[in-house]
Amino acid sequence: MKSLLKETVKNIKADYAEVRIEDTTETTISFQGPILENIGETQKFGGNIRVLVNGGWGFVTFNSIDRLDDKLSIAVNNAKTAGREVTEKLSLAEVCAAEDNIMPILLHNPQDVSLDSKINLLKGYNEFILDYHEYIKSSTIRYFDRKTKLFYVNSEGTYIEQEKMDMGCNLMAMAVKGVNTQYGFVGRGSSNDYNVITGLEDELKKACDKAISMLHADPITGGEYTVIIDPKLTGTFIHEAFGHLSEGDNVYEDSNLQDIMKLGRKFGQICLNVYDSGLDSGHRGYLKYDDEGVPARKTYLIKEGKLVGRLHSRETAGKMNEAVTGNARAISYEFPPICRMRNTCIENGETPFEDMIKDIKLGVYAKDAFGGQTNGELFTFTAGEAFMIRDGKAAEMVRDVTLSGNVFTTLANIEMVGNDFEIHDSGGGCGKGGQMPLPVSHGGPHIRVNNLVIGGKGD
Amino acid sequence: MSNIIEKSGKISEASECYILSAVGDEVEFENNKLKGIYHSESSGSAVRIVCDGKIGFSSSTKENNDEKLLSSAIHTARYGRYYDFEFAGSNYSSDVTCFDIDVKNFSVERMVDIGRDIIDTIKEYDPDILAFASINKDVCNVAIANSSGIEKEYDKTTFYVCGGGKLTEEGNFLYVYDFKAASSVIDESDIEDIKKKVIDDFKTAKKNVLFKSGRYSVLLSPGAVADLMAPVTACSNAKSIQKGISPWRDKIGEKVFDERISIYDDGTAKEGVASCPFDDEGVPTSRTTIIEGGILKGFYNDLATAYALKIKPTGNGMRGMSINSIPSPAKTNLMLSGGDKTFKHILANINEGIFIDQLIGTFTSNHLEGNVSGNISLGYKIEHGILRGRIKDAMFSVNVFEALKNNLICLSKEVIWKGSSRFPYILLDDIFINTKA
Repeated sequence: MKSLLKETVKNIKADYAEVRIEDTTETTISFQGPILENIGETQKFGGNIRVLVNGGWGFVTFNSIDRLDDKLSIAVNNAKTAGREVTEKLSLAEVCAAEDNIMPILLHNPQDVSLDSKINLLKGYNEFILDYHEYIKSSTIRYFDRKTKLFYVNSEGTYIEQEKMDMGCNLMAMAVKGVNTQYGFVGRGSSNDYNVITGLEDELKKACDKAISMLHADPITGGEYTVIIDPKLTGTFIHEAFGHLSEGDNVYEDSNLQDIMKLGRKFGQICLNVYDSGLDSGHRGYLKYDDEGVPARKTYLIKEGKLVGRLHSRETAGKMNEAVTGNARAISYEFPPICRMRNTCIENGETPFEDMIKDIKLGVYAKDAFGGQTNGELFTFTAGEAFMIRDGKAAEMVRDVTLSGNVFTTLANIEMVGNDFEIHDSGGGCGKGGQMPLPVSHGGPHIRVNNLVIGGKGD
Repeated sequence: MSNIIEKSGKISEASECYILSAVGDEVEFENNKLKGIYHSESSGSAVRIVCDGKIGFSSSTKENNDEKLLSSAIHTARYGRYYDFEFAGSNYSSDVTCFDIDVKNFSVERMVDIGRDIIDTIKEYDPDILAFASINKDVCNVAIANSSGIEKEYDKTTFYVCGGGKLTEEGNFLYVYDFKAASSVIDESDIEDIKKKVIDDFKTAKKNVLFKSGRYSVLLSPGAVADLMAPVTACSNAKSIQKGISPWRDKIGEKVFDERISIYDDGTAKEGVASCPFDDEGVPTSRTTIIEGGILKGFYNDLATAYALKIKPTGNGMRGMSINSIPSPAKTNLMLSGGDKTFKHILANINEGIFIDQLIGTFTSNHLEGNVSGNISLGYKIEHGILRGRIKDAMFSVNVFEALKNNLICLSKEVIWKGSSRFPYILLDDIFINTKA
């Protein structure tokens, strides 16, 4: 493979070229209620060629490595056509060529666990859910593990072979009473340890209890609130509220946005530190090299409230004359790499939870992530579980809690950062540019945020 | 394909082979210029095999990989799902054509011309806007064979055009887009519509207006109606009926919405981009009435759920254009019937209200509960029949079962295709919209 790739990239007449081949084997298991719905084994093999000519990109993706020369020509022709109108020179940020062969250090390889054991484990969880209570009517369980062998070469001399592992599991309990259906779930993921999905009975019990309690909770009254967000939801919050905005492709050709996102500008209070890192091994957002062969770094986005960094690909870093960060990622060989997150976190702070809640007369305690979205300016995220805060204490449970804020102003509204940092991996992932779900991680401690708008009926 | 069926015949009670191959091209404009041209060629096979009454599944994009494909499927069949339903038995397909040779022959150069025209039009309107465009064409072939003797395939083309722009200023960020998708080449008049909508949105959204939280008449564009329909697709999915988690499980024949609401899923719709002759299990596609005159009529299903619920298969067993997934019930073209008043007339008669064009975040709402909750990412204040300006930091949160039963004022006469959905504008009364104090 190495010689084939090196030979191929040598023959490409372009300013820059890269070739990528991927070989993935995946096991999937799903349950729908009592039915074991599917056990599957998948093999995905394919590659792509990405070429830069005169500032225009050409890209070809394929499953067969036959007639690579034909595919090469298409990529080069596409790049030439794309580059015809380009007036400004495009220079990719410089990186050292690297030759490397990476085998992950796995604590417990899921591919060493028999299919029998995996099914028994998940079956056990499924039966736990379905036998739990008369209100628990159904379940959904999804599990996958995936080993990918990646071969990457570029025209600057970089050659990297990487083996990666990714694993995710989502256990969901559905409680039903009449026409009301509510969920509780446990999500886990890892890049090195099958055991993150063992011993989840306690978590599952809480999830089932939560689903049942939600049946009796009232929908929240819409309004503007002070909100305490738990570590799991803090991760989703920072991912939507600031992570996407920090992706270099939003800003690299937008001079207005560059003025707004000037390094050094104050975005939050001094207690706020935010970073995105590819170095946290075991988490799904871990990577040694990104998909342009750039070594992953820990990149601070905000330090003591001030903007200090962005998440770059070589193109965006080159355009903005900033350092590469190792954030160019493609979900698979079917796509070109674009600026994506890895493990995005609010760093640990100092305020204990008890101090955050005690002086809130009326507020919301929002926990557990159910997903979120941003359009660049506004973001939303939905809590899996929430309670009103009344007179300094958690009070009645409420449901249908979707929170919203403005990316430019919400960070300044983070009043307190907690001291109980956690990183969380779910079985899901991030979506951008048609590439989803990309494995990412996120985390943080409890935080307290002012003036978040929560949707709901009025009084 | 018949090779795999033949080989598996010797070792299994039943088998099915699905092959998906596709060739696609995309032209991308970003920040006012042509950025990249992308080409993809993909091919893969998926196999379901029944051994000792249990189904194994495997898939592969590797060529000449039959042996591994079969052995993986046999391996997983040891633990797999019980084969209680049956693979499709009929070679009949619905009378749908979804292939346009003009799409196949459409040159990359012409795709570039379409994109450039969109960019130039937007830039001419306002050079501060960072315009983008994406033009895609796709030609695919779907083939299915199984041990019941069916063997069929079809070719399908898809053409997609998207255009829009972003405008960034301190404290204000505007992102506007429109798109069209079809099995045939998107024609000039549709592209004019995209350009016109984008520029109209930029014009109207240029000015921000404040408003107070309160109860309003709310007019939703067809794009926003798509968010409102999510509980309908969640609750009429035969899988959620089978699992006993859909609130509609015992309600066939009951009035669940206002009598002016009729909703169909139609995999045979002539202009529907999701139309095809048979689903990903080989079952002919069909038109399924979900709601008619406000009354719940049916569910869309796949073979497994049709069998479990003892209902007729509707041809909605889809794999999501991926060979890694087993079939499961999925909507094809979702269509909501229109009303009798034009959009112009409806808007002119709103004294004070909110117009919602785009929502974000609603995919995280509890759809089985009927909840749709999200941020109004593009919306306007209506005063005396006119769109006054853009509203910000506003949340829309409704229970769709209540809203479409009790709060419906009217549906527009115009019905508009947005991807594989065809919806009218919907006007609701007395909806609480909240914002910052």
